[in-house]
Amino acid sequence: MTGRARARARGRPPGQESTIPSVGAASAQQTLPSQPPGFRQPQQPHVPPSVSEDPGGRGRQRGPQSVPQGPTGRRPEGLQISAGFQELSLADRGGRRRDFHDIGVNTRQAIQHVQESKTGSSGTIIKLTANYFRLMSRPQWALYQYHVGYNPEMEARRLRSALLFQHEELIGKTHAFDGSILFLPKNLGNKVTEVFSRTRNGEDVKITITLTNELPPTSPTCLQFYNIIFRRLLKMLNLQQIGRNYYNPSDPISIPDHRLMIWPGFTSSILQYEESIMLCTDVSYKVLRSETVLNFMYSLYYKVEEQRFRDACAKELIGLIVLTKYNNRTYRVDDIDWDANPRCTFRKADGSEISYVDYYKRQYNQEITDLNQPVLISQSKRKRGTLMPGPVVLIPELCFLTGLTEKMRNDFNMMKDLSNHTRLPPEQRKSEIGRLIEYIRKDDNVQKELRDWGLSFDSNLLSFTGRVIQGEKIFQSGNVFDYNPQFADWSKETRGAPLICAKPLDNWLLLYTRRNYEIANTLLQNLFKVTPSMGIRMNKATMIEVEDRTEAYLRVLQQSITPDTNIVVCVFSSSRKDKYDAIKKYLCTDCPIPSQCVLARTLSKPQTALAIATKIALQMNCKMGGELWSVEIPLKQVMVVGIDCYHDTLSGKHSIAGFVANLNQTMTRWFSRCVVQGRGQEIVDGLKACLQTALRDWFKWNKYLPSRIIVYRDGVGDGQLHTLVNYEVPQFLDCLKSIGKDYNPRLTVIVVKKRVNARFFAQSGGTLKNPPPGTVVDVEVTRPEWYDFFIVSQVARSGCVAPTHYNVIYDTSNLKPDHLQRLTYKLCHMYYNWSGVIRVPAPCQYAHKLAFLVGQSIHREPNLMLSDRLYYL
Amino acid sequence: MDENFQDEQFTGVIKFTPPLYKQRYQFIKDLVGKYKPKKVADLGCADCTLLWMLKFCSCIEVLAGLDICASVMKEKMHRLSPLPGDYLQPTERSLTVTLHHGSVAHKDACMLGFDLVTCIELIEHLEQSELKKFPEVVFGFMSPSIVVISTPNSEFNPLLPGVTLFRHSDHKFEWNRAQFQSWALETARHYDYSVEFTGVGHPPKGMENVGFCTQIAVFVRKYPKASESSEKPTKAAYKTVFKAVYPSLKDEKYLQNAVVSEVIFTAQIIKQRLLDRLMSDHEEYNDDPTERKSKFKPSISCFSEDIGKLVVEKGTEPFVDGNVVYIPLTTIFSFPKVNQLCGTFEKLHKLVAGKVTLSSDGSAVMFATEHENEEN
Repeated sequence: MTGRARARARGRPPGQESTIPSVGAASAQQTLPSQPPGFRQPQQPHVPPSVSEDPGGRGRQRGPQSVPQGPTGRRPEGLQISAGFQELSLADRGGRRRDFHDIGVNTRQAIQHVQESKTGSSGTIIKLTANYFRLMSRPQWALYQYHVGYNPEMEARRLRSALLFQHEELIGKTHAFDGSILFLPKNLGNKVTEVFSRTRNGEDVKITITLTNELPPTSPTCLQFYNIIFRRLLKMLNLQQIGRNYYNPSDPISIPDHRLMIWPGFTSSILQYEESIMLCTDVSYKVLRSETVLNFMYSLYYKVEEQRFRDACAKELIGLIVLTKYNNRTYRVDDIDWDANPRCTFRKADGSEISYVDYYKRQYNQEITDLNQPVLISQSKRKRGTLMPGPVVLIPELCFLTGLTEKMRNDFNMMKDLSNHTRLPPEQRKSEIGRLIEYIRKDDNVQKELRDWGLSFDSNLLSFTGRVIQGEKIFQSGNVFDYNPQFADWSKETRGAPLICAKPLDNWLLLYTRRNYEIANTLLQNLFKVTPSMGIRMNKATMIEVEDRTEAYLRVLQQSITPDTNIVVCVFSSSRKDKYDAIKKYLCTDCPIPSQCVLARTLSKPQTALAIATKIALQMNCKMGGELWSVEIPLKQVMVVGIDCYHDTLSGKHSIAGFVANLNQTMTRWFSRCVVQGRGQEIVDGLKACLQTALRDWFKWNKYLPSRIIVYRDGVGDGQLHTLVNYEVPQFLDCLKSIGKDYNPRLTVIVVKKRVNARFFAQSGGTLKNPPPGTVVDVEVTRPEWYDFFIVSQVARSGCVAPTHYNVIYDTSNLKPDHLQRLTYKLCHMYYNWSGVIRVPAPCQYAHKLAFLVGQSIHREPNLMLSDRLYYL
Repeated sequence: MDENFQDEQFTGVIKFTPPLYKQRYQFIKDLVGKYKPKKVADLGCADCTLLWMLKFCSCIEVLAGLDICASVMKEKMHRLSPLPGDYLQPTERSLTVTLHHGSVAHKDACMLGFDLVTCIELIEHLEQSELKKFPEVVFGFMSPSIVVISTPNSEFNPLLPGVTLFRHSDHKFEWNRAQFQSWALETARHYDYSVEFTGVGHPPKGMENVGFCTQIAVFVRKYPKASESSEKPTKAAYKTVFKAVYPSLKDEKYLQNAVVSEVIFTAQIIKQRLLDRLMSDHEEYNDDPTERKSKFKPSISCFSEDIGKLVVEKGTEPFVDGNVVYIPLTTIFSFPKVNQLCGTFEKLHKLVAGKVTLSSDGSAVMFATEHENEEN
């Protein structure tokens, strides 16, 4: 309603943040052209491998390489993949040292009541297919893992490979070798095989190949291995890797209005799922822009005032992912260094000093034409070869922009254009997904590689059954409403019905600029029309004309707000974020009063004016602590908590966590607080404080403490599960202990994930459709080591609906999986800004809204006076 | 040559900076910079590092690699594929990279017509029988304008620690300077080439008499090739293992994409300017970019400036009629980037037809003005 920009609010749990060096950025900025730039390097892709004929052997030293069998506690998950293979596999995924699939975090084993079964039972059966293909291996298939030792010791990986593969007749053509560990599809026969090779220097080397493991198809090492092999296959298919996924450059979709190019491609991962090992693949679209960062800066320069130019650049560019022209790497822009330029020098790996201009000219024949452009800084968290991790310097002229800017996202027409291309309806999506398998089946080289390893893929999508759980009845002040489950929306049904709790508008302000007097007046009249049936008592607003400047607004607010003021409504003529931010900040911190901002344009269309007024009335009511509707919640004494994070990219990289918990049995009133994470602080410390206050307030409202606490934790990135399980959950338990000796509530922690690659299709007649809201999947595509399930709760008007993944990582509730699934679905009905079912439980969405408002506009913790109202809606 | 041999007093351990292999590659790059060959083949291309370096040389339009070992080529061949950037901004030059699996002792028509053929550290890996056939294949059959051959100088070997017989176990021989030069001179004489000798990897001070660590012969064909009609092998001896065709504006498909995209983008800017100008009648508008001073001053002529000027010069004003903005194609054609891409107005017309909405007489690009206020 207020036209606030949508942005991705993805936070990180503690433990991942420790490596963000604010120091690094600072040191990079101090570098002036004449100074040696310390430890920053431009990325040196494809540094030609050291060739061993170089006398003296300049092999790269990598710690664990020469250590036989290298897990040695490095990975608590117990994966037996050496450092070298990790690098190989993870570099293939885009070079991050993180396991995106959270393999090895086994949480189900600690949850007693789901040892036997984690499936629910209620609802009607529905036939589904999903974007998964079974990986098949021939009977008695095994992967043979060998350790390869050299005597005398050889350091360079290339040399080690070269020496080993002098014995191809023994080893065979099919192999994967990282310099120390060798994988073969066959058994060499002996436990230990010794062979001799000769180096170029004429030195004889004894190579000892020792069988260390015979891996069954389901071993974690094998999974890692499948993914490595699969990425090989994608490369063989001439797909281009960008970031984590692979794209087909030969047939792009171009949107010239915005200089956009869209490459179709695939996400893919092979994992052990409930019953079998499967490839999960989905269509992915990469938005690329045929515009360099420098082009973008030029056009921005002509659009903004001089003094705002640098800020505008920072605002538009920081956080974007850029793609370098001369190689295939993507970087996140973390900073712009205006004091540096392409003539600055850096120290190469060999110690010599060279300027960026000369480096790119010599290395890639890339001419840098603008020598006054600033440079982009990317804080690289990954180690590249022997180079230390540190800031990477990029030249704007040599970087393409990727992805969409905030501005493009807000451009309705552009997004419509885009979604025409990228939102595929189920049937079409299925055939696009099938194309990958088709490619694989048709390519001889790929088939040969698979055959050599003894692997193949099922040609059909996975089919199984899910359940559609019953729709909810909507209770609103004595009335019961059914809604059409096809639409999962009850705005029509409940229009004009009295609310559960209507807050009066006795004393309220309506601010407008002169130009918008008519519009403000119409809004007032319309509110008079729609509020009586809802049961909202309303007096005429105090109408105040304001000059359209931030200071004028603030002055008026200071002068006119009294202790009796219920709410402030502002009609804006344009969506200027600074004005919005200033007003929100003042009314959330210094002078805690609910506020409602609305754009004049939104109100200006006569045909929708009444509907908009209704919507605004509901929203204002919630902000003042009113209640709209409820669903039946049979579980008693339960406190439901929603947590989501917002990652602030602009103002010093704060993370903000929103924390929302219900205050009453019917889950119509909520306690909301947020954590603004300071430098060096862990978000979880703040969450503990939130939980404590939430319990205190709960006690005030109910005169007892909840006997169950269910935490829905959103905003957890891929690969962060481990941290959550080992760090955050124990902190919650600690916090509960501190409440009282005898207080021992049952705790459930559920990780909520919206961005998943799983897609479900319902078979209906001869065609595929989106599964209806309420579809629960807890078989086949779930993970055996987790207590997890998917729910499709919302309706997608176009394209494919995205299921939400719920992973119960801690649970002493003893609740049946069925009950937990149904409770979760019920909670998706309780978000008051939308009279319909949403993707996540309402407390998560509230927490998201709160964290977003604080992260975007307020930047510090709002006044606790507001904490019992949904003031941030 | 800028490689410096970093060794003040010779301690017995030789270290080249940059490493010797890089110096060899740089030698080829410099040669390419000097002669600007269009078609370059690397025989014995191994892991394709030289080819990868050469693909950045803008004069080269055809790159080919040949190696006897397919697996070593395959290991890293994908770095010869076009990059996303090559698709995003296709260049004028076309480039095709092909890798062949085969032996330099066999003739294959795919190696005909090259300007430069490089054989870096190749000949010493050849068996006696292969070495015998090598000159006939390279100089007689392929007969490129330039051939570069490098090979170890065995006189340098005593300075390399651990080298007993040869520098690499797969070397079939290593020649001293006299042996290499006599072989090269004989070959040059037989096939009408001139030859010059040089090398990379300077010997340490006081040991200059041993010569370069790597010796290099550069052969240049004396006479332009008479005819292509020399005997052609009937069947292909090589197997193609990799082929990449880079997107280029010479390809109509990419040219059309580039032109359409440029036309629409330019037209959008003109339209925006026009609408802004119309708006500024109502509102104060004081945003004159030319008067601003800045450290960051775009030094490339920026399009928005150009548009302003050109529109005035040509007098072909875009105009608004009802809800439609008309921007004459002549205005768009006067825009430097479009002009450069198309060359002629007719070509522009041909390329955009059917891809961009044109007025009924085909003289102007049409845009709807609506949505303009929907900034959100």
